[in-house]
Amino acid sequence: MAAETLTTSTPAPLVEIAAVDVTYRQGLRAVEGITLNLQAGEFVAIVGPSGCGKSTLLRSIAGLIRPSRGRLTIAGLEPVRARREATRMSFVFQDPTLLPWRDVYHNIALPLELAGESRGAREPRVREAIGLVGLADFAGRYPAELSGGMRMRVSLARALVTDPALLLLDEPFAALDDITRQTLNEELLALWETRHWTGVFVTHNIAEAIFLSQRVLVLSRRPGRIVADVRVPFPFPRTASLRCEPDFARLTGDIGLRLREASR
Amino acid sequence: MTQSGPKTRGLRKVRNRRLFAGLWLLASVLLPGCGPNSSPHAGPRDEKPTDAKATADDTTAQPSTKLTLALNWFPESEHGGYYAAQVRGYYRAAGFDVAIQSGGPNARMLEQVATGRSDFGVANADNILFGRAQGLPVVAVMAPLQNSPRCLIAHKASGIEDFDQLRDVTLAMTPGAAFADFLRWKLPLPGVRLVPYSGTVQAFLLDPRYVQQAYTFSEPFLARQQGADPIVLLVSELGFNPYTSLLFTTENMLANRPEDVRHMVAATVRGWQDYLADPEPTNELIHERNTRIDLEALAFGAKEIAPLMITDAVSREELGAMTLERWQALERQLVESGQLKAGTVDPRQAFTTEFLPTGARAKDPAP
Amino acid sequence: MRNRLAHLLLMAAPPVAFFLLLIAVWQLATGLGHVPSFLLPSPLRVGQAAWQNCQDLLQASGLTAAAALAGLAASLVVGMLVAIAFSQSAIVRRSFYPYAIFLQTVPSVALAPLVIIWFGPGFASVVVVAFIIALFPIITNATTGLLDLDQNLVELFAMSSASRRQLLFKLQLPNSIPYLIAGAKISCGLSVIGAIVGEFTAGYGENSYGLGYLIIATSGRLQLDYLLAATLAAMLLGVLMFATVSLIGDWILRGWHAPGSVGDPNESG
Repeated sequence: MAAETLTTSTPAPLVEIAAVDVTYRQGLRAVEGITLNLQAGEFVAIVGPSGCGKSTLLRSIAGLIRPSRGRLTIAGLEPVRARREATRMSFVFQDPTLLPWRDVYHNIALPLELAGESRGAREPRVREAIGLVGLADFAGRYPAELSGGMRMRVSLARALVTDPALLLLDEPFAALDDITRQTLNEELLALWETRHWTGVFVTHNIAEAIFLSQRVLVLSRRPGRIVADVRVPFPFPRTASLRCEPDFARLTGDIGLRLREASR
Repeated sequence: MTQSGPKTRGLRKVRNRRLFAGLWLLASVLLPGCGPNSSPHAGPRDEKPTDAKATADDTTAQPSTKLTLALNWFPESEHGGYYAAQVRGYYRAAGFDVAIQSGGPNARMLEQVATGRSDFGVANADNILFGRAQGLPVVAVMAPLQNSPRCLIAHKASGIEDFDQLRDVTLAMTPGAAFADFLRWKLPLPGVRLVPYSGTVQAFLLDPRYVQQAYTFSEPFLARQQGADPIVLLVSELGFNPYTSLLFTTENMLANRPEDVRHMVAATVRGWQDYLADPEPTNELIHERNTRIDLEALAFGAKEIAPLMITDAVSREELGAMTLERWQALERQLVESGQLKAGTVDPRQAFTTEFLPTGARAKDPAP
Repeated sequence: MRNRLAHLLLMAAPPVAFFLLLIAVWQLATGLGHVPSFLLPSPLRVGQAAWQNCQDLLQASGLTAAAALAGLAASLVVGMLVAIAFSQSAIVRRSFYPYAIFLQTVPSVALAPLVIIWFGPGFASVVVVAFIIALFPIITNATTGLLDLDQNLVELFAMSSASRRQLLFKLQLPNSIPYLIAGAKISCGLSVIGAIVGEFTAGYGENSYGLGYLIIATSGRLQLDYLLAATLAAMLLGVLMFATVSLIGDWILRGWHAPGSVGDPNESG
């Protein structure tokens, strides 16, 4: 069940998903009947029970998986084509996924390298991305020397270095401790507030979903369907203190219940 | 079909398991179906003690003493006398049941005899000296070949007629062989590439500038059989002339079983004399034991070997004789060419003529 | 610095102690006369033989080492190229990879005479034999290294619409380096064996010969002490090459893997 969150005249949505099914090779259906639109600049979170297909959905948007039914377009084009021609997209994996043989600087530079940018053109952008995640002093270090949190920051910086219009994140902070996670949430939010990419954030953590997004989608058990599309009313900019507010807790509990239902 | 797009189908690991299972199955099906074990070119077969043919009248009532004789190569003309004694029953008449063990490129006959695994062995004089230098208590008791058949063969077309003309060729000799190191010491050999001897004439046949070691009564014939035109350079002409195909045993045997040694030597001498007179039956036995060499080659070998055995110095009755002077000369040459350290070996201890039949013994005045 | 030295000594102590114990037992057995010297010379005599012939041994070792190194280098280059071919085409891989495994079992002693016929006697042939024997661990390891990729990394490259060429040079090749090093560690010992086997059949030049020649010559002359010294020299050569490859490998991978981290092919689990 889709819900438009912006009712005033809106430009065409950036991401349009209509009645999409995604089936695994073995015939298992991961997600079913997904219909969803994302406007440019929206930040959406997706929560759901384990194995409900949220990662699969994210990968479909990224063009890494092809839907078996339905229509999925980005800027009106198929994701693979959109990615090549129209929309800069970045994917942040659950694992930092850094190249162990490159240092921080060169890991972050990778997408620009692959896009064919010259070294001179790359440098200022890489430096900027490093600065965004606060790792300027570690540019020459190798991933093996960094903590989990720092590696995730490098992963983020790499995703941001291309100045993407669409940012897809697959439970990026799941492996980190709570403090680091909250800190990174705040940093990510701050970045979004300045850059305003369209973001899709998959997570297990309800509080995280609410804190970051304007809209939380709840998926059912496999095959995943959208069972709730909840608007997050808190205004921007948001600070850490938001987590202490009673409304926050109420919304967390609310969505938690819906999640529990979806898990049955 | 939805899992992933072409780019991201993923570069999976190589799936070997099914492959291996298939190969394993194939092998276990095919291998048992292979042909019988015997091939047209079966190698030499060792004798078991009961193999020996006895054609002479054998009237000994005593039980035979079992003896082993370890050869230094595959059975060839150079072992003619030993096989003759077998074929004619001379060993049997002496009360022996002799098993002749084939050698080859890796023959360790010296160690075999020294450790007692064999009672007797066949070796060249230089082998005996090297063995003694390493503490093996081996002693030569008869020398059928007075002159060494060791030679080099070259293609006539190469224009080489003498040792001095050996230059810019490939020279194949067994690494560490006494004559080989002697030649390397004695001759300049400019531009000569040394390679280990392969054991066959195949490489020789393929390359006109290939020179290799040989025995006068063996490889030249084989090469001619295959259409080549070899010339022969006799190493003994350079002065290096060790006794060849010697019968040897241990000091222990000499001390504890002198009669057995005496009878063994006597039977062997008779065998060699017989081989000179009538090699055919013996050659048949040799061919049976080593199918790699045909009867024609063996006949040629028997003919060529005669002048090496009976010379001006040693008559038919004196067959097997040895002189101290020859042994001393050899030891000197080995020391000079850097193969032996002076004083490590006493030539006197390396051989004895005591066990030769009277005719031969008279050859060498008591040392 | 001092700590590192102490650590190194501590690591070396057990194998060195075992080695000394072995020598002691060996010396005892041969010294007491239980074993005749022509069957097993005492360590003392082996040492003496090594000392007396050290010049010849060093020269021969140098030649064998040169041939082994050349063979190893060739196997690394060719092995990598073959592995790249295998990684780029599934059909090529499925057609030829089984032969790579199968050919590994061909005995080198049978191969060497064939090589001599094709390449002629000399250094080249010895290198070719060493190369053939060292080749296959490189092919199998490098192929695995090129294909054993973190799926996320492949997807990362896909997100940037990377071409096959970019994938090969920026992901697959660097990924294969630890595997290649592991393969080189196996192959360096094999290349020494290959060089020696090649030397059994080929020669070098006018008066130069390698350890293979020495082994045959000393064996023929029953000089067991010298033979053992030559054999030990060959073993030492193999160990030295292994140590060198390990050091180079460690240096290449220095920033790469934290010990025990995921993705380090030298760590179990």
